[in-house]
Amino acid sequence: MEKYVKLVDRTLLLTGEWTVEHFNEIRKELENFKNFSFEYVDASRIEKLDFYGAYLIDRYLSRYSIHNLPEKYKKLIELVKTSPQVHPPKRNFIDNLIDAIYRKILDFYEFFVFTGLVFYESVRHIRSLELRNLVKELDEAGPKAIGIITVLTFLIGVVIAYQSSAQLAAFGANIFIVDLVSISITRELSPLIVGIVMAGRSASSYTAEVGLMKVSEEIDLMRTLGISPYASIVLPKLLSSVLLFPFLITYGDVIGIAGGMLVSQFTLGISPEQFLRRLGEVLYPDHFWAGVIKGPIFGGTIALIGTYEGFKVEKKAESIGFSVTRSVVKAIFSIIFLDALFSVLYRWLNI
Amino acid sequence: MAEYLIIVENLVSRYGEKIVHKGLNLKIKKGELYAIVGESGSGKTTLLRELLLLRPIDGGRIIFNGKDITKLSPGELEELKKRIGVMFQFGTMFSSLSVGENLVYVIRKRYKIDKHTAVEMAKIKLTLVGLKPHVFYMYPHELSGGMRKKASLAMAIATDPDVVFLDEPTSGLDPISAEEFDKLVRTLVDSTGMTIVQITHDLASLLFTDRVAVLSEGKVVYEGEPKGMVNTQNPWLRKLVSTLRFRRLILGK
Repeated sequence: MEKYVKLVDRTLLLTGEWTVEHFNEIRKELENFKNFSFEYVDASRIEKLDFYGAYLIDRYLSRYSIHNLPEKYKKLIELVKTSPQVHPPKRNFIDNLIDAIYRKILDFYEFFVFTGLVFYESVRHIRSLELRNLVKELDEAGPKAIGIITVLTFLIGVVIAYQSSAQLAAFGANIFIVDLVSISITRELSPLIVGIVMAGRSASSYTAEVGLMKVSEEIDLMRTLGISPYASIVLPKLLSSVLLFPFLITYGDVIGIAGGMLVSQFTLGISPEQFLRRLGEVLYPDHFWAGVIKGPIFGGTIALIGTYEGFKVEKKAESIGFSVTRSVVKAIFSIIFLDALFSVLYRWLNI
Repeated sequence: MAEYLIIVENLVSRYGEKIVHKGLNLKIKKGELYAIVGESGSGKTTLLRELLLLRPIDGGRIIFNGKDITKLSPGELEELKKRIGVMFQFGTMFSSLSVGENLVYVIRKRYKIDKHTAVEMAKIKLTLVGLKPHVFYMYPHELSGGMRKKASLAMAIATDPDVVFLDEPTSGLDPISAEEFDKLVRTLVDSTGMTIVQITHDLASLLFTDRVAVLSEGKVVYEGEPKGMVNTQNPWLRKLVSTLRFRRLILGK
C-alpha cells in the first residue's frame, strides 16, 4: 500500500517522512498518481521534509497549490525551484588535438627555459649552494645506488659473454670474447645501464621531492626570502649527478668486465691472466673515455628532467603521481635518445 | 532526552601521557546552531575528530540520537555516518573531481539516487550556498579560498544530513565573505532544521549562533547563549570576556 501519497476524496494526501532515504519510494508512488485527477494537495501530515522531498513536490506537484504545508518547510520549496541550466564546456577532437600538440611544444620550450634559468641563477646565486645539501645528494645518488648497479652490470657482462661464447667457439675465435665484452660494456652498456637505473631512481625522487615542496608552498617561501630555488634545490642535484655519473660508469665497466671474465673461464676456458693480458692489448683508453664522457651528459639530463617535472606539479592529489611517471618516462627516453646521438657522433668523428 | 541530538558525557582523551579532555560534557540540541570555542590547543579539533568517529575515545560516552556510538554495530555506524556532514578547515574536496562531480559522488555513494536528480540537487545546493552555476564544472584548485569553503559546505549538506560539522568556517575569509558565510549557515539551520556545529575562533560568528560551548583545560567551562559568557568565574573566560573584541562584538559596548 502507499505509504507517502494517498488519494482521499479527490484530495492528494502527503504523509510520512519525505527525506532522501525514501526518495525512490516516494517518487514511485508519485509516478502512480501522475494520471489521476485531483484538485487539492494536503501536506499537513508530512512529518519531515528535506531538499529531496521538496524537490519531488516541486517537480511533480508544482501545478497544484500545496495546502497546509508547515510554515518552516515553505522556504525549502522555494529553494529547490532554482535549478540553473548550465552546460559543460564542449570541445571537439580537432581542438583537443591542437591543444595537445601545442602543450607538447610548450613543454619542450619551457624545459629549455628552465635549463637556462638553472644555469643563470646558479651562477648568480652560487652562494646559496650549501655544502651540506651537496653531500646529502652525493650520498643519495652515489653509495646508495651502488648495489643495484653492481647487480645489473655484472649480469649484463655475464649475459654478453655467455651468448657470444657459443658463436665465437664455432669459429675458434675464443679470445675475441675479450674484445667483445670489454668494448661493448665500456662504450655502450655500462653508461646505458647506469643511465636507466638512475633515471628510475633519481629522476623519480627528485620530482617527488621538488613537487611536494611546490605544493606545500616551500618554493614560494624561498623565492620570497630571496633564496633561489634553482640554486639551492636544483644545483646540488645537478652537480651531484654530473660528478657521480663518470664514477658510476667506471665502476659499472669494472664489474661488467669481471662478469664477462668469469663466464669466459667456464665456457671458453680463458684464464683470468689470458683475459687481462688481452684486455690490455685491445681496450684502448679511447673506448673507456667514449663511455665515461656520456656520464655528465646523462646525469645532468636526469637531474634537470627530474627537477623540472617537480616544478610543474600542481595542487591536485594525483598531480605528483603523474609528474613522477612523466619524469621517469622522459628521463629514460632521453637517455636512450642521447646514447643514439653519441653513437652517430662517434661514428662521424671516427672514435 | 529526545531534544538532544548529541550528548557528550565525561569524555576523556589522551595522546600518550598528555590528557586532552578531562571529563568533558556537552549537549547539542536538534536544529540549533552550536559553536565550540576555546584556546588554541584546547582540544577542539580532537573533539571534532571524536564526534566524526575518526578517533576512538579513551573514556566517557558520546550519545548520538539517543544511542551510544561506542556500542553500535558496524552496520548501524555506517547508517549513522550517512547522517553526518563535515567541512574541514581548508574546504577539503576530492581534488581529482570537479566541484559538481564531488557533490554527485557524495550523493550517489550515500543513497540510491539517479544521476539526473543528483546533478540537479548538486546544482541546487551550489546555488543555495551562493555559488555561480559554472562552478559545477570547475576543479577545487581553481577556486578561491572563500569559494572553496562554500563549495565544501555545499558538499557537506549535499545529502541533507542531520548534523553538519564545520571546522573554522570563517577563518581566512574577508569580513564580508565571513559574514555572508555566517548568515548562510544561520539560514540553513532556520530553513532546513538541520543541526550545525561549528568550531570557531571568530567571535563575530557567535552573534549568529544559538548556543556556545567554551573549552578550556580539557573541560567545557561554559555552555549556553553567547551573552551569558559574561557571568562566569573561569579565568580564561574572564580574560576572553575582557577583550576589546568580545566587548565590542558580543556586548555591543
